Amino acid sequence: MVFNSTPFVLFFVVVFFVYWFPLKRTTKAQNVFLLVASYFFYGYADWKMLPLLMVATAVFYFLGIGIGRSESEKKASWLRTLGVVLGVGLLLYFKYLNFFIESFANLFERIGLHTNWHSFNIIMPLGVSFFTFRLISYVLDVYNGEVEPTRDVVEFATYIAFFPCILSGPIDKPKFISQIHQKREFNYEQAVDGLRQILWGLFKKLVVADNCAVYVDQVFSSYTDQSGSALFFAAILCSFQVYADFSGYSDMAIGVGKLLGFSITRNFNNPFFALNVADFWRRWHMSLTSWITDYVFTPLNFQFRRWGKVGMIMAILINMVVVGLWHGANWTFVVFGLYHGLLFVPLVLSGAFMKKDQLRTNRIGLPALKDLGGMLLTFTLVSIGVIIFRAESIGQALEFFSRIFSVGFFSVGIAGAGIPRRTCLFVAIMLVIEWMQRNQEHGLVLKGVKSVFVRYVCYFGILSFVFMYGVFNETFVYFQF
Amino acid sequence: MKRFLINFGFFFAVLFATAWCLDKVMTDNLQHSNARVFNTYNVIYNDNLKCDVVIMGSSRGQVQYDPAILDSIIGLNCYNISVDGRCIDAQVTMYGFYCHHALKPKYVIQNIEWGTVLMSNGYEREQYLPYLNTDDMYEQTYKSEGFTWVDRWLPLIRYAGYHEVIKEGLGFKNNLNRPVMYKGFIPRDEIWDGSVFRQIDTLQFTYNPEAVEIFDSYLMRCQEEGVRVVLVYAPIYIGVTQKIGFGVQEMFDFYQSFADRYEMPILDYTYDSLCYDTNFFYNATHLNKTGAEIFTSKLAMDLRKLFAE
Repeated sequence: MVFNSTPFVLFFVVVFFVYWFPLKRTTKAQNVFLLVASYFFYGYADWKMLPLLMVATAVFYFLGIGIGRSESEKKASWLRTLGVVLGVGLLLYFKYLNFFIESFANLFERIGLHTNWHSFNIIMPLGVSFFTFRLISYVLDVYNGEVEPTRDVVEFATYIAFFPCILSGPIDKPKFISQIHQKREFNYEQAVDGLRQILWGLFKKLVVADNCAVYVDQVFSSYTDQSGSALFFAAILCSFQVYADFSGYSDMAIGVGKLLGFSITRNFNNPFFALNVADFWRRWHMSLTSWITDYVFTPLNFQFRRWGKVGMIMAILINMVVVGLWHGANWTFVVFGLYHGLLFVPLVLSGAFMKKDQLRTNRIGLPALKDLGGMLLTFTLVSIGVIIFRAESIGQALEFFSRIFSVGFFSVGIAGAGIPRRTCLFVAIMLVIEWMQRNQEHGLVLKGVKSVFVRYVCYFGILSFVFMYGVFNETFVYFQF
Repeated sequence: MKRFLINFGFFFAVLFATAWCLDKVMTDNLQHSNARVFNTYNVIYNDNLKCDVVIMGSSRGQVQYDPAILDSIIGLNCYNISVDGRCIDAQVTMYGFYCHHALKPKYVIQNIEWGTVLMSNGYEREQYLPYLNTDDMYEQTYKSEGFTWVDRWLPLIRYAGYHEVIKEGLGFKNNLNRPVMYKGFIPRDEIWDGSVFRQIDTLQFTYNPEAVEIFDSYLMRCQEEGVRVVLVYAPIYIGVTQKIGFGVQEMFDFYQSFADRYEMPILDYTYDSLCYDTNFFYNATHLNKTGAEIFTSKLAMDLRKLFAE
């Protein structure tokens, strides 16, 4: 039941009206209803894994209470460690076990030791990377005193299973529980903004991402027959595809949250306007990077502080490998993370790592030349990483790279994918709108627009694009993670 | 909340009204379109056809059976209702539409081949859109083509994403194909280039149980309604038959079992002299205009004898 499907629209209309009308007066009833709706949403996608989600939620709920009640630091620390081990273990088992078995078996084979290890037939629960991170951050934050352990199991379970975020994030921190606890009033401005954000997300997903996907899939599936320029162009479009797909989903999730009175964590802040790679990661999948910064990078950086910049580089490399590995159990993701980690090295050495430069514009509102250079360089580096991200194996990624430069760059290529001009236009429209709205939360913030007519022109204009050029295939790139 | 519901309701009302009007305009235009993908359905719907013979098949049916030649030799009114790129499920949908809107034929010439009794893969699904708001078309296609009640009942949504069709419906210039057609026949005046032949690695006769059921029901319906079906293996380049050997005997046995059950004749041109000369083909599996004319003439002569019996 993805956001751009009929079942979801029907589901949400029912949820919206029941939530704001019969249950309007009692927050507790609203929360119970949200929990039931969230479990229904999850069960609709993957009912077999629903008991796992429930049991994991119950275990972490009691762990939180246990940590809160602990009179000794030792016991609290022990319970926290148990929580982290259980959370990480859950991820390791469902997401990484086969990867480790196969990797070690291959390694032993290469050094001449025959193993009889077989991988298991494990089905990965949908959204496991997202809800596990919420579970882990809860026990850590309770232990660190960042949040009080909640006594209300419904509130906690709703935080873990909240339907707009359970399948693909954003990954809200445990402070989000306070929003579930508070009484929520319907806010007209927030709800309208939510609808606009959903519309903007639909445009990015259906028009930009899915049209890019048509070209990218074609080139990646026949990359041995393509010209160098087609491969290069596919890598660029693949960057836009992944961004528009995931940020489009996040916009829809945040918009749905706003309609229910919640303020969900922002996940993207115009990452293609980043001036360097560090800036890029402050703008890309922000809820994940924030999570990993808090729970992985900061403790590591603290541990390694006596080694100065070398320690910081080590912390960043480990951090980025974790980010890469979070995306999936494949060596390509490890290399993807490592590649991005290495891109931080010059920034750390030059001291530009922590600098947060403001974007400068020229007289006509376009980026200043120096900033434009930074953006283009960052985008190129990111697009190179996307090839590794998208490839099925490291060998395929290397072959893809080699073919970009070894096959005649400007030749037509056997498969002759050509240039998808219309898709380029959609990407350009998205970038122009995001540039104009770069200081807003999303591309369709219409705060200054008083005229109803102009607003309707915007809505109908976007709807027309979605209607004419949308690709309606109901798949999202980040569902696999 | 009241303000939100009023404003949203107003927006939705404007949206719905716009969609409804656009749907009316587009559907009407598309039902009169001469684009290839809609042409046959539109002729059946608008022209009150009264044909004695209909020709059914996929692209091989569409480009190889010339109704003009059949008309002149067998002296009956023929129409080619073959569906490009489609298997028996879509062909039977077309036949159902034909029977619903036109006079039932006396004869059906059914082109059969290695891929007839499979389920179609959604190729040119847009051909159904202008008629999807009718129970008849919706009932026939919702399972096989994946349409939902939303496509049936809500205005305009079924056209979403089909930008060339939308442009056609709104009267804008578009890239829909408009070949020369005569009574559903599309002659291909092209010469052999060998590319398809080189690309063919495997061409195996296979069938899908669901498609077999559809095929069986369709033949039973024809028998019950007194419509005589003639099964035809049209020519295919001999290199394909020799090089690959796509389970020819298995295919013959399969269709023979249906022919026996429903007492239908089979006309076989698999090893006809046409099959040995690439001058009559534009690719390995399709006859060109010249090949189609010769083949249809031969077929017409055989049909004349058959119908006279």
